Amino acid sequence: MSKSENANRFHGWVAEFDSPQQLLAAAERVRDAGYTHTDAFTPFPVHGIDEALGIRPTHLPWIVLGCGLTGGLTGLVLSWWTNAIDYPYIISGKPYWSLPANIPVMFELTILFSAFGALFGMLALNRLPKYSNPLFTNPKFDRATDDTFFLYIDRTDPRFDAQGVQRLLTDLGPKSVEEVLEDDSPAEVPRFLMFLGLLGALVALVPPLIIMQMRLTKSDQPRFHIFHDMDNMANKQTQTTSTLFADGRAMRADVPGTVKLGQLEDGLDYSTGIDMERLAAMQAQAGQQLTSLLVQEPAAADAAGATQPAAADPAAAVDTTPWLPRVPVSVDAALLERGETKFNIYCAVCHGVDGSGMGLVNQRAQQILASTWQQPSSLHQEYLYEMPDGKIFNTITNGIRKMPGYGSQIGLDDRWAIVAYVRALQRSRSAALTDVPETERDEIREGVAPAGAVAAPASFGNPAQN
Amino acid sequence: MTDAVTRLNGIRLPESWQRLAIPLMIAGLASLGIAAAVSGTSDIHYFLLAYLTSYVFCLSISLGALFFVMVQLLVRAGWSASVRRLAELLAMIIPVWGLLFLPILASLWLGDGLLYDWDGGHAVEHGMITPAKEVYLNVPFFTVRAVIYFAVWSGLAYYFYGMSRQQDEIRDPELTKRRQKWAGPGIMLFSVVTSFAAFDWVMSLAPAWFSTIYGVYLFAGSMLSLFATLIVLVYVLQRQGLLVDAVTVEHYHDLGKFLFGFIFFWTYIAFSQYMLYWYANLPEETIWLDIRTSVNTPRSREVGWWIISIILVVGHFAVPFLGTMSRHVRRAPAVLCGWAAFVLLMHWVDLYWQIMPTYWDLVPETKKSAMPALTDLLCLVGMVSLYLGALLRIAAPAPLVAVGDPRLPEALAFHNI
Repeated sequence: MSKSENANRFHGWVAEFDSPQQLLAAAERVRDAGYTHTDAFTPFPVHGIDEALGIRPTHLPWIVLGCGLTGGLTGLVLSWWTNAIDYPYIISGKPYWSLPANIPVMFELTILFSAFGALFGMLALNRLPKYSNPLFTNPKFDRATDDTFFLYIDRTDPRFDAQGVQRLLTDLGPKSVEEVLEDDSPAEVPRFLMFLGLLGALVALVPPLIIMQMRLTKSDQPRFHIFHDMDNMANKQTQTTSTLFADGRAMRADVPGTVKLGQLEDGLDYSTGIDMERLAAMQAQAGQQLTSLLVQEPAAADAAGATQPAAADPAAAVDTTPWLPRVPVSVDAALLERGETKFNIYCAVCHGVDGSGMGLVNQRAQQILASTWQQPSSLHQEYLYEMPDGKIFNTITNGIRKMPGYGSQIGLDDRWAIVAYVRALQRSRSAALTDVPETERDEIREGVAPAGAVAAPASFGNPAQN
Repeated sequence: MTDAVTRLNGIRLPESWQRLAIPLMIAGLASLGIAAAVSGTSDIHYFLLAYLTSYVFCLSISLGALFFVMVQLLVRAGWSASVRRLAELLAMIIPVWGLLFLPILASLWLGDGLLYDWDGGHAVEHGMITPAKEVYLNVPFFTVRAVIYFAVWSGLAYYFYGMSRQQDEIRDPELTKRRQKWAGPGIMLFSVVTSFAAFDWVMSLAPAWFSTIYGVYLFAGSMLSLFATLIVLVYVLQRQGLLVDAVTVEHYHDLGKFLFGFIFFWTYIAFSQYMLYWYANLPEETIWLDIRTSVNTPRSREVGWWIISIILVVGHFAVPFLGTMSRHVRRAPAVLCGWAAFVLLMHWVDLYWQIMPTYWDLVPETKKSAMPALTDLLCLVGMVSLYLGALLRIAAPAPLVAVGDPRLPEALAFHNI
């Protein structure tokens, strides 16, 4: 092969050695001769080859350090953001953001990022992966992974001079010195590999597409359980029995005398419906009543009922409890909607969706002539119109007559929302057209002719008409 | 290569150093005696705790050395052949340290709860330990165990050192093979014994408290202090013109890597212990950390142990971790030696932090030791003097490099990437 023909394909000279000692000695000579674009290829790591080749210390440690610091910081910010900002959640009574719990996350991310930095940084600094290297065209070079040591000088070296390098390498006593030529085989990645890569990328898109499709569409199929024991845990569900406890109930009642986290945050007035300042001024034993209302214990609730039997019966003596006259929060459309939802869930089965006292349970009880059944009150009665909001709230919370207390089932805010909604229901019976916003008056005029009179019996159990 | 090895054969401690052995040991004993006299009159309990702190400090270096010798043989390491003799010599101090354990045993047999609160027969009565623990924590069984520990350690140390010395003369690679075979079982035995020693001698100071990782915690400190000691020793010897041919910057680099690695290993183990207790938050487990880390309890306010806890986080972990991270630091012997000395100091602080709070925790307010800082210092100086004296005495007849080791040429030619 003459050089002129192969000028473009000529990459440099490679010398072949039998032992690492020879290679090291040769590399030192080449280094001392001033060549810098050199490389060595050995079957195993040879200690000292970096120095012999004159390779400067790598920048990789800085990359790894940077990645490690980034990882540690990522762990810190991730745990802080998720635990303290985005989803604060009390775990075993610790502060939302506690450093000790997050150090393992920071540690692992530091290691992970450092390892990625080391691997990908090494690949990048070595310009790998590379599809083709002209050295591979020499069949002798295969033995670089077996028992032979190669020293290579690239033609891009500033001191490179083809003859001079050949002479230098020959003087080092190698087994052979050969030109490194790029052969005719194409240097670019073959089409089928590109095709495979593309195909792989497309296949990789399938799972996210399936997930996206499932997230965005509806299905009437039951869900499938990937982790069956995580979806269906062995823990007790609500309203089931348990042999663990003497009373046989799986749900545990609040421990008597305890206060739930945040239970008193909104103040006593808000959680009882009673104006505490006025109560304290009026009654000495108010404290006792107050405690019995707060502690949602069956016995205490009974006691609370017993101290105020008058309040239960409209015909009896006047109730002197200083109930809050109005819902203690601002009543807006959102609160009413919330109240409607909760009312239809908890109250409408007995009181009816319109509050007439003719709910489905009541109808059924009358059908079967249930002897112990006591008809639920219609909410559209004069004494109820005049009843303070606080007292209605108290009735929802602690119950009255046959009605059980809903304090443990309906949240505090929701109970007030129901009170507000009950007020709206009551108002609806005697509303004038002027009560309706102007924009909606036309709709009502066009609709049912007798505007104020909703045909109660016909609309039982059908929320849509309400 | 053989020429180099022959030259190493002559490397021994200079005469002037060998003559220091006896005076150092006498000075050490005197120092301990003064400490006992100063503190012992007012409160022997304090002296014994201070004695134990510095005692464990020195012992842990030798235990690290014993493990180092075995693990180098187990993995058939080449690089360490030129520094392994120093570790063998350090491990040989363990039998001497067995003698120094006698005062501790004496305090158990002669006194009543002088050092360990479980001692004296009232521990169960006073609710300090459960009756089940008394089966384990009693003076006769404790003594038997201590004898077993020292027998195992000393046996291993003698075996590995003796055969290495034999190899100095007859240069038989077979001796290396035999030691390699026993290194594995030796390490297993060592791990169990060392772990139990940590439970017995340090952890049982708080008899109701327990930590299954405690043995590993002490081991982590042992290995760290061993590498620190090796670096300091090699540096000091090289300053005297010894070992100059045997230990190169490449060995410093490797010792530095281990120092760096074990700084983090210690942190990892210490934090593992801390985090589980912090997370579970059970009173019988957190009490140990409460004394040492709480800022606001009356007990910790009085002495301020939490300050030492912070010093450990910063000085035992953060600062040396960052300080020894760079390759350039590890390849600069003087700088590395400085870090190693600092780490040794921190290891002593760590042990002080583990052992001494027991005193303030359990001794009544009215009974306080006179001049505690002086007692601490005298005990440390006394133990270190004794340790160095013993080292010089043991090292006197031996070459400082294992000249018969078949891997010595490899170690001498060792080169990091």
